[in-house]
Order: sequence, then C-alpha cells, then structure tokens
Amino acid sequence: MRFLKLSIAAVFVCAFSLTAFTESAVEMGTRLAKQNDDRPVFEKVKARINIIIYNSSGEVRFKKSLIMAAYTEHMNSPTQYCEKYITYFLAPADDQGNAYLSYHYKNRLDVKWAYLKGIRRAKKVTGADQKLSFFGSDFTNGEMGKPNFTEWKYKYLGDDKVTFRGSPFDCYMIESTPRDKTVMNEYGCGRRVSYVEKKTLLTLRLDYYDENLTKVKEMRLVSFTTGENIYHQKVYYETGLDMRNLKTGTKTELRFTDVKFESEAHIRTDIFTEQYLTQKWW
Amino acid sequence: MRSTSIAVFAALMLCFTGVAYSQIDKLAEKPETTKQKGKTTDKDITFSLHGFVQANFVASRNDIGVSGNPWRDSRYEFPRVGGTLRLELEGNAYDIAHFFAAVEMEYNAAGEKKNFLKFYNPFDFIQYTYLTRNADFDRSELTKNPSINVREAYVDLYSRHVTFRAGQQIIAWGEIEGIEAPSDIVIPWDYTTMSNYFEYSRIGVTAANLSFYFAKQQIQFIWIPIFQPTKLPLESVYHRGVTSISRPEFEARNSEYAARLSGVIGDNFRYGLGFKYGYDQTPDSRVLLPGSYQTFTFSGISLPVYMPAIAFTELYYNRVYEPALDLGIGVKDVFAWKVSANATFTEDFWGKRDLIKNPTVTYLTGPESTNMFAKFYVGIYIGQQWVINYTKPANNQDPIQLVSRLDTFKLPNKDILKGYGQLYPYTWMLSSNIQRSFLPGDALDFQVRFALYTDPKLKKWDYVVYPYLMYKFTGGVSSALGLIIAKRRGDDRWMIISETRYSF
Repeated sequence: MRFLKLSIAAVFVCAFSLTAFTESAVEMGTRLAKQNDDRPVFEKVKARINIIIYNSSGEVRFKKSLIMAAYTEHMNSPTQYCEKYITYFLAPADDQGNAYLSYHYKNRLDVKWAYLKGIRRAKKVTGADQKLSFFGSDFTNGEMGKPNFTEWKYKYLGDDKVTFRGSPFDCYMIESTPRDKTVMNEYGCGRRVSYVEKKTLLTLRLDYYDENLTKVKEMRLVSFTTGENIYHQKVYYETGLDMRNLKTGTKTELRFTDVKFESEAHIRTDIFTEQYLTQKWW
Repeated sequence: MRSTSIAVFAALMLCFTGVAYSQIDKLAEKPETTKQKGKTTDKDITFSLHGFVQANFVASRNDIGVSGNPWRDSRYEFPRVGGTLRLELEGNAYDIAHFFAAVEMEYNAAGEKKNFLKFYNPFDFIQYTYLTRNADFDRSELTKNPSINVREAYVDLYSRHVTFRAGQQIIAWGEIEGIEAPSDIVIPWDYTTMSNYFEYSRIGVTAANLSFYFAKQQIQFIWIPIFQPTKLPLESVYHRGVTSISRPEFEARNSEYAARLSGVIGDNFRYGLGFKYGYDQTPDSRVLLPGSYQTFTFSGISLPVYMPAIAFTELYYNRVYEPALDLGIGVKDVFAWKVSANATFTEDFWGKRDLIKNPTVTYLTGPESTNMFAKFYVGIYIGQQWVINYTKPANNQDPIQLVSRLDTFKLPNKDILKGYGQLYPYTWMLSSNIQRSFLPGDALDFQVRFALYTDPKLKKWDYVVYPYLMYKFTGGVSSALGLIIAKRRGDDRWMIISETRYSF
C-alpha cells in the first residue's frame, strides 16, 4: 500500500516536472516578466527623491532634490491602469520651482507635462523621449518607470546569484529584447538582462545593452522597503538605485527618503493636473 | 525509514528557502510612519531664500548716433559691466497660500543715461535741412547708482478649482515660448535687456489674476491697475527725436483688463482664446512744430511757407482692443503644430489719423518638437503682420506734398511708419528657437533664437540672430555667453553678453 502511494506521488511529481520542463525559455521568461509586471503596487506614495550625479572621476557633479507624489488609478484594471506622478524640484536653486507631471499607462504612450519657471508655462511633452536622460542623470526617462510589458520579448536565461547588501540571493536571469525596431530606437536599448530575486521579484540588477548589443549601463538595487497596499497585499518598493554608465564612467544615485504610503502619504487624488504644477500640493 | 528521510529532506528544503526569503525581507528599510515620527515631515508653513550672484559683462557695437555726434566717437561700448544680486523669498502656508518675491540689485559701472534732451528734430527732412544738432550723449552725465528692481512680488491663494494671484507678476499667454509670440500680449517686452536669460525679456506687471479650473479648461480674469509699457531703448528713441514719453495717469479709469479661456480638447488639441482691453504696448506720436510763416517766391508766385523752428515729439499710449488666439495640435506624438495670433484694434481703425498706429493682425504658425527634454529641440514659425487700412507714407521729397500739408504738417512720414513697424501693407516674419544639449548631465546647452522680418517684395530685411551657450559647472555655478546680431527698425547692433552666475 505504502509502495502504491509512493508510486502515485512519484507519478505526480514526474508529471509536474514534465510540465515544467516543457515550458520553453521564452515562455518561462515571459511568465516571470509578467509576474514581475503584475507585482502589487501602492495606490499612493509620497517621497523625496535625491539624485546625485557623479562624473567619471567619482566626484559629485550635480545634486538634485525633488518631492514626488504618485497615485495609481484603476490598479486592478489592465485597460484603465494609470500611474500618475507629480514632482516639484526643491534643489538645486536654479531648478527650484520647476515641476513635472506624468501619466504612465500600460497600453498606450505616456503623457507628460513640464512647468519650467524660466518660461512661466506648463507645457505638454510628448514624443519619443524614453531614451533621453532623466534630468541630466544616467537614468533615462524610460528607465525611471515600468517599461510597457507588451513592447518587449522575454527569455529566461537561467539562474544566477546577485549580492545585495553583502548577501547572495538567487535570481532569475530574464532577457528582454525590444519587440521591434521602433521600440529599440525609442528606448535606445537593444537588450536588457534583469536579475529578478526569486521570492520578492525585486530586480536586484539590470544590465542595459545599446542598439549594437554592447553593454552600456548597469543598475543595482541599493535599498527597498515594504508595506501593505489598500488591498492588504505586500508591496516591495525600491527606494535606492545606482546606475553606472560603463560608456562614460559616470554614475547616478537615486535615493528615496521620507517615503510614505497609502493613507500615510496624505495625497489628494485631484492634484495630478496641470493646475498643480504651479501650486503647492505637498 | 525512507519516508522519514524524504520528509526530513523536504522540511530542510522548505526551511532553507524560508531562510532565504526572510533574509531579503529583513534587509528592507522600515517605512517611516507618521506615528513613529510623531509629526509630519512636511511643514505646514515654510519659507525659503534663494537667489544668485552674477557677474555681468556686455560689449556692444551700436551704429546709432555715431555720425555727427560730438560725444560719441566710437561705435563700441561696454554698456553693462558689474554685478547683480538676486534674492528670492518664497513661502507656503499649508496648501492654500503662497508668497514669492524676487528682488534684484544691480551695479552697472557703465551707468545709464537718463537726462535726455527735451526737444529735438523728429523728421529727417527737417534734420538735414534746417537743424544740425544731434542728441546729446555726453557720457559724463551717466547715472551710476546701483539700482533695485522688484521683478516679482505676489501672493497666491488657492482652492481646489480657483487660484488668485495678486501683486507684481509675470503672466505668459500662449503655447509658444522662447520667442516673441503674438498672442503673448498681457505683459510688456523689455527691448533693452542685456541678458542671456529669456525671462529678462519680460517685465512684470502689478495685477490681480483670478483663474478657474474645470474639466481640463481654465478661465482667467486679469486686472492690471497700473499700465506698464514695453521698455524701449531710450538712447535710440531720443536720438530719433523724441522729446518726452508720457504714460497714462495712475487712475482707475486707466486700468487694463484681460480674460482668457484655454484648455485641452481630447488628447492632442490645445487652444487659448484671449482678449485684452488695455494700452498699446508701444507708443504713438504727438508732434508739435512751433514756427512761423515765411514767404517764398516760386516762378513769380509768392507763397507763405510755414517754417518750424523746433519740434516737440511726445510719445504717448493709446487704448487698444486685442483679441488673441492660440492653437496647439499634436501630430503623432512627435511634434505639435502651433498657431499664435493677435489682432490689435487701435483708435484709428480706418487709418485716417496720421500719428496713431493703424490696426494690425499678426500671426505665427509652425511646427515645434514637443519634447522639451530632448537633446535637440526646435520650433520654427512663419507668419505675417498685416496693417488694416494701410496708410502710405508721405513723400518728404515731393514739393507738392510738402506744400499741400503745410498747414498741419500732415504725417506720417516714412520714419514714423518705420518706427511703428507699419511701413508696408504687410510684413513677413520667420522666428525660430533651436536648442541642443551636450555633455553628461546636459552640462552644456547651446541655443539659437532668431527672427527675420521682410517687406512684401523681400527686399529689405530686418533680423535678430542670437546664438547662446551655457555651461553648468558644479556647485551652482554656471556661465552663459551670448552674441546678438540685430538690425531692426533702424537699430543696427551687435552685442556680446557674458553672465557668470552662482545660484544659492
């Protein structure tokens, strides 16, 4: 009897294993990337962001500081999902007063507005700006938000360990390649390799390759925090990222401080409009 | 025994996996909660003081007034050499009130001339025939005292759908920036600026500004109790024979009013419809020619000819009605097609009063790359200014015309119309703003702004070409170097502007 039970169990294990083995690298990569894309998020976040840009000699070149509020509308709707961000520059002095508003959708192009105090106008910003520098840093606009899942093809490359805060963690290596040439040109990226931590699905490391498939940048997660969103789901939220540009030798640190979530953030949902680019909301 | 081993193995596997999971969770930063901190990080009432210290150096070549002027023996000058301190005080009270003030103190070692002549010969035919003196530009009469200028000082009051701003403020209308947009009519331009920063082309006005926001639309009402005219290059103005400039009295009846409806329809269509009832930003002329009649004999016929002894030319400001239109049509998320237009209805709609400007319609239209943060940004606009009920200039060389208008000295002559920019029935305009960033951190910024103006036959060209470089050093230090090459309405000027700034 015991033998029979063990045999049935073995058959089930084998069956499941076979199922697993039949999943191709592309299917597995796509599945993992989708899981990563569908990670729970907070509905409301408020934080101060410090951007520190180093030159190739390792000296601080610029420090920028801004306050950011984020609101995710229709979190559980794949068609109406919209991440709204509004930011206000606190420093340096010549940037202070500039403001930025963006809507990030899953299935359509982002919409952005900028208010530059020098010209006293809020201006809608459109066009292919994903490969452009995010406020002069080593991050591009496309790297600051979640990439549009459907614009990329995925492939599971294997497992690897990535050191995070001195400890090695098991990660899935997932390759993302642009779905077509337009996407490649828009992002200025021909390949990405993500090292996604197996349990949390946090991306601990991300390598960027240019259109010629030369590795040009490497991003590392430096810190994260956790919390519960309004649906009582556990959310892992990145609060520190380093981006090293291998081509120029420059580096940018992105640090979130005073991070507040959900009801702690005290954010009104009607502030994500052009009107609030020139008006205090924080 | 075997099952026990499997169970132990499975338990160990789960245990190790759990250890790994818990390890990364332990490395998470603890979110700072309000309860933990005991107070909110963002203060309800805040004040900040910012500003900059700037070293200025401007070298110019200016052809105006050199010929025949005993005091000007060189075309080359250093009109701005010195320093500027700007202080910006800003405060917020909760999210309902905001205060901002920007005050500038400038010392210019080159000084500024303010004691212009009180009378002059305004018309070149008189100038060359009867009078020989030119305006006095004695450099020893320059004022060198440091100046204090309140560029902006206002208070904002906010509610969810209404904002109210009162005080000295800069109000920009329209969709086009970086050039003189026709629809940007609320506040005046500063044609004397010697700065590389475009914001110094604008002059703040004292105003009350009430805006309502609803469904992506905005309605704005503006009251400007004190009329602030465009700042003209006074040396140039006075050299051309102007004896005085008078503004409307500071009285309630001389207020200016403006309103604008603007907003977005759909994703790609932006519009603005504005209207201003105010004063023409550039002045009209009033001429007084005291003199006497003298008798001249032509072919045996004696004619009394009025001979002016002296000329007084006053510039003054007339009321105008100005509707303005803006359109911005997004095209495939790559560029936007912009339209900026205004009509200026002067007091002389039918073009029958000689010294008052005729009404005009002005527009600029063209494509603009819609990405402000692109490494390369370009906006290029073509347009026209039409003079409604165009009046031809009088011919000062025609004796019949001279005799026929002796009694009143009917004008306009060519120079007045040129000064008004109404010499031709219409003028072509081409304006552009091109920008390119270089180096890591966009540390180097190169920009070219230009404007070209020409007559209907494309024979006479006026131009302003302005290439400019700005380099951002570390620690808030930046340096800007610009070159202006300009020929407009008779002013022929080259200028090199250097500004090195430390922002704090």
